[in-house]
Amino acid sequence: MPTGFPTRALAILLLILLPAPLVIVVGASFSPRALLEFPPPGFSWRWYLEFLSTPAWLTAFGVSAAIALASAVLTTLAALGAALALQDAPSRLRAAAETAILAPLLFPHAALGIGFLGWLILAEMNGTGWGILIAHLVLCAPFAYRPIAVSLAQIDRSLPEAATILGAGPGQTFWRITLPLLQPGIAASLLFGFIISFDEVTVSMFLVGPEVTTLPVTIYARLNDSADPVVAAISSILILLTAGLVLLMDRLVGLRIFVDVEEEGRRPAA
Amino acid sequence: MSGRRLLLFAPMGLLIAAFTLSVAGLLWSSLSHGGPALYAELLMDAGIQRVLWRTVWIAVVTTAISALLGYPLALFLARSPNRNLWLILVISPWLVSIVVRTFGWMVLLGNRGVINNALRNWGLLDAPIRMLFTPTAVLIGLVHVFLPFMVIAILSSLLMQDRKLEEAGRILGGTRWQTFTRVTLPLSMPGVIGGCSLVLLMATGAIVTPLLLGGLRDRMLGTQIYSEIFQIYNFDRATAMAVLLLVTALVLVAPLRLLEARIRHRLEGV
Amino acid sequence: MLPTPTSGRLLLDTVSRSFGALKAVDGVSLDIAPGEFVAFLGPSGCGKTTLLRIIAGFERADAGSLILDGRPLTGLPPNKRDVGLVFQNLALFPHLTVTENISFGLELRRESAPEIARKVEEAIALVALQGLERRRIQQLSGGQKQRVALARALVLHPSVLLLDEPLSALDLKLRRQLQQELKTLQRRTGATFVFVTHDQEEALSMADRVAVFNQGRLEQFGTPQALYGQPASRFVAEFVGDANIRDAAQLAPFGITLPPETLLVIRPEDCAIGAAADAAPVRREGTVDAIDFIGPHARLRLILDGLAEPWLALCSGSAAAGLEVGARSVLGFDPAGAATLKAGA
Repeated sequence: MPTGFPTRALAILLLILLPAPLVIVVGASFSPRALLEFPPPGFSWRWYLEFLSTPAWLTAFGVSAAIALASAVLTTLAALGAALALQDAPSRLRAAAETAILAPLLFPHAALGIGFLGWLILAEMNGTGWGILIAHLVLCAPFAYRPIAVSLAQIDRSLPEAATILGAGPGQTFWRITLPLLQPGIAASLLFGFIISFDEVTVSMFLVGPEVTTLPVTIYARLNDSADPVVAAISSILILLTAGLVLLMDRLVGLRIFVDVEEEGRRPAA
Repeated sequence: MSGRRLLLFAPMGLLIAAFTLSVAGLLWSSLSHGGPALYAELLMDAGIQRVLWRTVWIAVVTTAISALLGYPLALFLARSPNRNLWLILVISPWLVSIVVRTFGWMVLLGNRGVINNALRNWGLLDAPIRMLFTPTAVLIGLVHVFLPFMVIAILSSLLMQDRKLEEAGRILGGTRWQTFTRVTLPLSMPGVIGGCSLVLLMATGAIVTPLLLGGLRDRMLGTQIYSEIFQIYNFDRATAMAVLLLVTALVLVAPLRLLEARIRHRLEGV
Repeated sequence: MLPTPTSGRLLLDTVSRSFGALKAVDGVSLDIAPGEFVAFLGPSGCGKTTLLRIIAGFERADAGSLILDGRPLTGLPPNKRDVGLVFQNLALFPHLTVTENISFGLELRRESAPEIARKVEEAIALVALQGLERRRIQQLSGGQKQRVALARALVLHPSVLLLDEPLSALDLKLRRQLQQELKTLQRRTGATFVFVTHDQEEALSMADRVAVFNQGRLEQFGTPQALYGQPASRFVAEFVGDANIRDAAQLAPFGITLPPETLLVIRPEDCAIGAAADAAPVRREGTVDAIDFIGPHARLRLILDGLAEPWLALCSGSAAAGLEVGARSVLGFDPAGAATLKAGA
């Protein structure tokens, strides 16, 4: 299957089909009528205004954003600590710890949702933002750890040594050399964490409650009843937000990190 | 582990503990509340057997289609000079919430959806074709959701390859096709198998896409668990089914993981 | 005017370091004088880099002591040793500019801004990098990077500057040029330089004294002339330049008698070929086995009649002009001018 015509044709078809449903959602969101139609019969901001004037939607958006922000920052700090702790660890210890960190990737999310629900009920944290946050932290941890560990491994070991021989103590070496060089990994970890938490639905749908729910779960609940253009409007906001973050990632780090992290991530688990 | 290292690792340790608690709690409660009798009851239930079988075949077919479509796309991306541009088209949909992507297919496939409307407007149809709420819709949705995972996994192993090996294959007299089947493809197998096990795992545990595109009749294990909890309120049965899901996923993925380990061992000697 | 070196005396006393069963550094003692340019020479894995890292403080010694200007180094972390190091891969900070790399150590010492600026400017002038101050490291050529690494280490005026094969990544021409610059720089700064290399030509041409290592042991420490003229061991004789090393049995056909347990080291350039061999005290006929023309010289390998071991000889291109493989010729040398070795050394 060298990249001859059939391969290229199929690839380009897929590259059109992958974003197609999203383009249609965005298009349908501008419909002035109450029916989902594509192409939309006209243009209006009606459904966006409805989203902005419905407190329940705005609250769900706020909850999701807050949880996503907290997940991104906290998992990045945890991953940074773990990566530094494991950097010089004996290889067996390191392999064991990495398997544990990456383990949530190997479990079906439906089963994980039930697992979290079980002990969160006992801890009386089901249906709270804290319960959802804990689950999101666990789910984001592998995605935070991998880019930071990859970045750390890419730092030439002689650089901290060079800083030391030029007179830097361990703290100065960390702040002046290691941390600045980890920037791509940290940026990727923050963006990964935010996006994954903000979009998460499969596990969250087990953990939300009458008082606290996230935006994707609210969208899901609404879709179960009726698919109307207000959902399309909210979905469009999510799509644009995600696309914006992807472009930001491209600027800051380069999209190649998604690919590099993938290879690195499968290695220890293999 | 030294004290400093332990301290650095502690936050990640807490997340690992939260994950372990979920899995252990799941196993414990399914054994203590229902026990073997509940499992026996589940496995003898013809309805559950059908759900289990449907889960397996949908997951396997989703994985196979994703691999067959994903490989050419990954190959195209690996060879394209505009890779970064194309990657945006793969990664952006990948990171948009599953709910939103599934919603896009609802808009496309519904009885009054984009496809049926278009066909009717062109006079090709009198009555709409039923596409939504069929296993085919679930397959389309799942492939769309998981294809980017497969593409990234394969792409990463293609990019890891030394292009010189292909040149060596050609200079030794191989045609483009021979070089592909004897050099490129075997070397990228870890990526293909890694991508397959990831997709298989996630497809087995999918909830949102089968619920929204498959409706209530064609259930998968994940959707069954969800309705067991939120419609029938039978936590014990849901827990036992979650364990069943976990075991199914692991049984499906285990051979792939073994295969991947063996191939990696042969290729890299690790 | 050249500064008179007053600091930089480095004493190593039976320093050892093992990794498991491997003795990477085995009882090495050295006395390096202030302002001296010393090369650590040996094949890869001989322990020279480990020893350098012990001096820098990145590896600990299992036994032995290190004293720099009367100060024991044992237990001191690398940042407190007054030792500079130029890394093999240079280890320039990729996120900093040329100036920021060079000022890094000065900033850590909390020197005043004008002081830092003055010293950085001086260091940049010393290595002739004017005009590149604001460049990022990735924008520099190999030779420029080399100079930044030197400036970054020298700006702190360390008593001892350690250099870990810093030229190994460069092409030959640039390498020769930087060798000269390094030597000049060393004389101008007056610092003690310890230069690790596996290239014997580099070591001999640059260093005041060369320490030859093999399997963790110091084989010989001396001037390049001493190393070449009076090698202390068979290893040194073979590693430093080419040599015909012969025992009593192999020399008997020449009519030479050697004391037992003694070897004679005859350098190829001390062997005369053809007509030139007539004047040599001992000589023997043989067949030319191989000829390499290297610039103005020719390197010959001869199988002498009745002797199994081939002989190496270096002669002028004109002397070898008539010769070809298979031709008969005569090889002669003066045993009085050859160095002797104890067998087993």
